[in-house]
Amino acid sequence: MLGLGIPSPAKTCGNVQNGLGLRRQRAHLVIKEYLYRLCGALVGLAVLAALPGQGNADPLRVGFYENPPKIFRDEKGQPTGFWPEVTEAILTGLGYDFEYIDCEWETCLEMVRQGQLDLMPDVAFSEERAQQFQFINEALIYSWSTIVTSEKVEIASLQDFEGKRIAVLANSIQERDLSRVLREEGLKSKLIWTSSVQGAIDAILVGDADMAITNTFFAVKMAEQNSLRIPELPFQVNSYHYIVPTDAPHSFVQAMNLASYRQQMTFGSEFHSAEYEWISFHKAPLPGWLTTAALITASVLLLSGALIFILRRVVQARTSDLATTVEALSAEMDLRKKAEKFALETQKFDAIGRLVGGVAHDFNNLLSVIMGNLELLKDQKELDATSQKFTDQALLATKRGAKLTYDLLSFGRRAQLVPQVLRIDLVLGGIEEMLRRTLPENISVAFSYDPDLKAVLLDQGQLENAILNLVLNARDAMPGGGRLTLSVSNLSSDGTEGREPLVDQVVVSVTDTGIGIKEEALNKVFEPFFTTKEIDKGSGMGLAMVHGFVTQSGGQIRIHSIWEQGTTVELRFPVTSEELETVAGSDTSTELLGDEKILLVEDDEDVRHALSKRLSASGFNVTEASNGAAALELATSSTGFDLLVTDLTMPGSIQGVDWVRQARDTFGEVPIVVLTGYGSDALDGLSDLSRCLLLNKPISGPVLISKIRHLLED
Amino acid sequence: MFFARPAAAQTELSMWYHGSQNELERGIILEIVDDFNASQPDWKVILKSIPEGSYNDAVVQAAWTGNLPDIIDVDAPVVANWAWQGYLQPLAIDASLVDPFLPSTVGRWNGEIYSVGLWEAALAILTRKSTLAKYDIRLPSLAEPWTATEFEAALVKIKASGEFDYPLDLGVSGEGEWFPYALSPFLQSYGGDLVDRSTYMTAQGVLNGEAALRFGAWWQSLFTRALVPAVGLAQKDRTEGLIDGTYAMAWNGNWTVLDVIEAHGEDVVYLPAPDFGKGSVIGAGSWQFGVSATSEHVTGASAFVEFAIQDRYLSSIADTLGLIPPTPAAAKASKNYGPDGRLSGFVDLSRQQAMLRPVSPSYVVIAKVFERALVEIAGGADVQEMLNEAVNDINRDILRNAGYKPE
Repeated sequence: MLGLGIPSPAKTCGNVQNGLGLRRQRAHLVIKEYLYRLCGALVGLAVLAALPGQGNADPLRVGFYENPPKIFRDEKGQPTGFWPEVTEAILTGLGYDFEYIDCEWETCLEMVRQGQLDLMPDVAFSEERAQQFQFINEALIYSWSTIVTSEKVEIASLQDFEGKRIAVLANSIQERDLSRVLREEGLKSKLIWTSSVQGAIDAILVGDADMAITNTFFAVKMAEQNSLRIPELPFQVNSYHYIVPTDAPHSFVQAMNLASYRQQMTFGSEFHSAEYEWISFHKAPLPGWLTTAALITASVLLLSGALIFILRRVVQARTSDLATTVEALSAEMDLRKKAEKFALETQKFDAIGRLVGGVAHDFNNLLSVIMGNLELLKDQKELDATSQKFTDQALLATKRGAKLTYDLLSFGRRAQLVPQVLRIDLVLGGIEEMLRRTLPENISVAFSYDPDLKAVLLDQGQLENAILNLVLNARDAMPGGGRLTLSVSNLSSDGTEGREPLVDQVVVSVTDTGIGIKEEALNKVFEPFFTTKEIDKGSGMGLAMVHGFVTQSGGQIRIHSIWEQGTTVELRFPVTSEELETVAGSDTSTELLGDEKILLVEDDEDVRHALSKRLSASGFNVTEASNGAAALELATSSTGFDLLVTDLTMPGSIQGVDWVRQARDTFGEVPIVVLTGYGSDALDGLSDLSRCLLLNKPISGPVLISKIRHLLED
Repeated sequence: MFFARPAAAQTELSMWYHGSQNELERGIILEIVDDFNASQPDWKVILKSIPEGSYNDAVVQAAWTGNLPDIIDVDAPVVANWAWQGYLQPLAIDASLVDPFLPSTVGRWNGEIYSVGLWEAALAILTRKSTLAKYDIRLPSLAEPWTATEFEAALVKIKASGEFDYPLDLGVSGEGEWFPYALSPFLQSYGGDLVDRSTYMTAQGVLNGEAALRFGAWWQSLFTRALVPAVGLAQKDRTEGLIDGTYAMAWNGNWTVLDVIEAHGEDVVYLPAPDFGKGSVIGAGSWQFGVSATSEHVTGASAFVEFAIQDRYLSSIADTLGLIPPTPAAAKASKNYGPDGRLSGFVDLSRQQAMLRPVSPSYVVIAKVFERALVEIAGGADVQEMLNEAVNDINRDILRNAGYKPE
């Protein structure tokens, strides 16, 4: 329960006076600032009036733990550091009386969880914590580690860590973060541990490491001194917030949000003062000997004016120090901006990815029902020609719907890919004619392939779709005609380009001479449903799908465009050392019928009914279950099944990957077909299961039967 | 009338402690601090607990910004590194004070004493007498530990019985310092080592020599034959696993023994490490108190360390936390480790078998490289190849740091 206190006028007035003192030299800002404060106080009072327990005189309980310089007690035992200064400003500004409750870090969090603390500062945001606490959205501190590389190494994304030797201080937070990232991203890099922070830089300089990850302050200094590069990619951006218990009043959370925001937006606020004092990099300490020397010098200066020369030298040194500080601050600000931008973009794309994944799942279930029933309808012998035509058209539309959801999943990087070793020139050679046919006569087209093109690991169908999307975009960009060039070439890691990659890549470029894209639209082109085309001319999913596919395939996508001159889209894929595969055959088999016993587990009654009909129509003996528990019951009462077809996400205690594993334990080596509307990453945890196949909903009847047949005969 | 107030004249000493989640441990540290502050008029220690997970980072950051406290809590194997990096300065105490201490509880480097610990942790094979008797396995002693052949036979026999999920639990579900601390002693018992301790300039020949290769092959075979749980395999509570019979034996620390005794009483035994040819070896470890290099009050800070290592506190920690007292006198006064104590055998175990981890600033790197090699080998990597790579990684680090010569 939030222990809300009565505002403390004395504390509030004292704080305002202090604030005005700080702003004395900025008279032109005082009135503006005062209005902000007045506004803030009014908001605070309004919030207080709306809160329960207003009459309660108990002060707000704020967690306090030691983490200098962000939060700690000074020699007199007084709370000091960044958070106490900002907290004092915010809470007194809102009219709260408050007290600090000392606790260990973990204990503090537990106390917030139990409602024994009303507010806790300095908590890094994580999804896991967001389940347990309410976060004040406005982050007051961002922190991140910095990547340092030699001049030859280019790091544009986390995927570029693959195969790199990365130096990192042993037992540091950077090491822990790096290990976690590599594990989560499935990347293979070699850690070069070092015994000191300097050691990580030394490892690059002597060629033992390709890159290092270290704290930002150190990285900026060392990169300047050693001509090393700091890529624009910040590493492990963390944002630090206040947290409150989950049952804290919404109005209090809003007030804290607003006050935090205002602190950051107000020039000369306590936030900026505390940030400069405690967080910024300007606080490089003077060595002890220099302090001593300065004291001695000051004494000597009293005795002799001849030492003025020495004083000048000290002034020069300080000036130089100041210049360095300004440079460091400037670099810090740049990095912070990049970190914030990176964090926002990542969060935005992740959020959209989750959203479209969820929508696609439900949509796919609906499509499954429609497609299944249409296929059953089509099989009816008494259907006349007109009805047959209507059915075909409806089926066609359903497949287009399925394509759209697949594109959505592609954007969310959840599409099921079937990568195979292939040469892009051979793949494109096969669709050259089709691509030419999509272009009007006033557009000339040229294909150019590197004669010794290297192999890559890609989903062939998705690659063709991606290229087709780019070609169609190019066509629409050249309504008055023009030239389209499609080239595929090797980009060697030791090639002649100025900023060559560390691993060999194959680059696919699609260039048009069309109208181009305006600069303000360039950073939005990969977002789903963003289009510069006229209404009804494009879904806005094309480039989003391409972006998702390329990223999911471990590649990179780049776009260059000049307004009214043209656009080039580049897809870069890492070269694979695996042997080239033969082109995969058709997915559908001619021997589709069967009589095996199939257990079908699906919670959606309509989907289950349609699937059951489809399987039964092909001769299979189908038993239905509406969830995992019911299926397990059937396992004990039935004589056994030859194959299990199951949904992944169902109501009940048994579902997801756990359900599939439990099914394998219960049904033994019976083949399992998993149908999911969420995309392939739902099954990352099942890659070790043999005879287990993942299929995306909606799936057409013949393909499903074919896959089942293959699995049964495998 | 005025009363004398010693605190008014006391100079404050800041102290950082790796904020343990263990309330009992924190209580004892606070008691020592309070006692020290009240015992003399000159110094007052102000204790600050830093969250354990970020303790090392906080120290590194503070060293960079010149904000180290006067007294630092430091993990024993890191002492040499922090001394080399200039975070610590030698203690101003009479060296004879630490003569009775277990060697592993005194942090030395370059001929100086930098830190002293209040406890020691030792490892042993924990099992039950009835299990050994059932499978006709000899009960080893400190004087006559199992030979490699006996140990091998015991594991195979228990495995064949099918009574347990695994004959032995080595605790390799997690990651970190456990690997060099708990597992490198097996390598040393084979005759290998993490680094050549005669020079501390190379790992060549000791980490990839003939003895190390035999160790590597044995280590890999433990996993291929499923004699131990796989590296990284999620485990429930280790102690619980031993108690409920998931494992027949566990390679674990003295701090867990009392729980097992609680469950199985006198049937519980803790056994010395097997002798793989060069004697039984166990790891040694403790957290210790040192004085930061930037402290202007080395006398006061050292006085605190000297105060804290009194036998009465060492005994108190041993009885409260189950850790081994570093001195014979403290052990004798301890309930658990005294002559009649249930854990008295651990004192002899530590004195006779404990081997320090390499006392070198490079240890922090060696530890990580060794862990990687063990994980890879357990996963099926080529033993010779992995050990050669480990040697190269360690030697390159030593080379980059010009041999870690003291300045």
